[in-house]
Amino acid sequence: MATTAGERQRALIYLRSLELMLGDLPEVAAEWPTIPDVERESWSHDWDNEMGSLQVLTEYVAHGTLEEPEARRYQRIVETVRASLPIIARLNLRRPHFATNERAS
Amino acid sequence: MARVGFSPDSRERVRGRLAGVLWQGRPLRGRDLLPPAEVHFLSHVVNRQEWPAGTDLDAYIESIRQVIRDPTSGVFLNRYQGVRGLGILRRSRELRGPSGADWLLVQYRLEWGYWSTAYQPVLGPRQIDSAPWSDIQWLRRPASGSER
Repeated sequence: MATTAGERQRALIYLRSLELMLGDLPEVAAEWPTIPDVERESWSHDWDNEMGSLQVLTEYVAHGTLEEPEARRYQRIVETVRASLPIIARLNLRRPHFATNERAS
Repeated sequence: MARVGFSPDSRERVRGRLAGVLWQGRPLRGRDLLPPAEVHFLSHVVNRQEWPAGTDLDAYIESIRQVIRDPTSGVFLNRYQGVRGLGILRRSRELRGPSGADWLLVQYRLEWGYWSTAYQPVLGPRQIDSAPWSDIQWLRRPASGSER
């Protein structure tokens, strides 16, 4: 499938943003009870949007839009998110689309 | 609501996602604390490029005010993680950047009297369809002209 420059740029930004957010997740989870409300809500909203980005990346993968290196990064992200599901539930963050589907089935 | 902005007295930790970003003449460190307006600007405008290239902090804030005042914007009461808020949702139109989305979402937390976020949701209106969003009550739907 042909990939536009815009889609590729968007995919790269989504991948990097997800990796950075997941990199912060353990620290955020550990500090959660002491993080001020303002930062907690702000971070949660950003997590919301990252889960949206993950859903779009899943569609890109399904359509063959990602190059092999990016597809591997996507798989690592999915594995990290899957391993983080207990934390995601504890912090009342948005669940990834694949976990929502799994729960419904 | 358009006038208030983000909480001016709060501070948010930069953390890894913004560490290394050049801001006010120096690279940010993860332990740095910044006002919420700056954190949101750096996250959504600089890092994720949701707004057009060249948008500065003042223009980002003004664009949010513009969306709140726009009579074509949708307005909805909600709970986010169980806390009451007022949301504004509009097509991003001229505010969409290289990696932006079709819609722009502003959340105002009622108990604070400040904005808690303003970004371009990748999923559009579907962003508010599932937890931790709940109790969505539309006061005004986005006008048809701003929906498509």
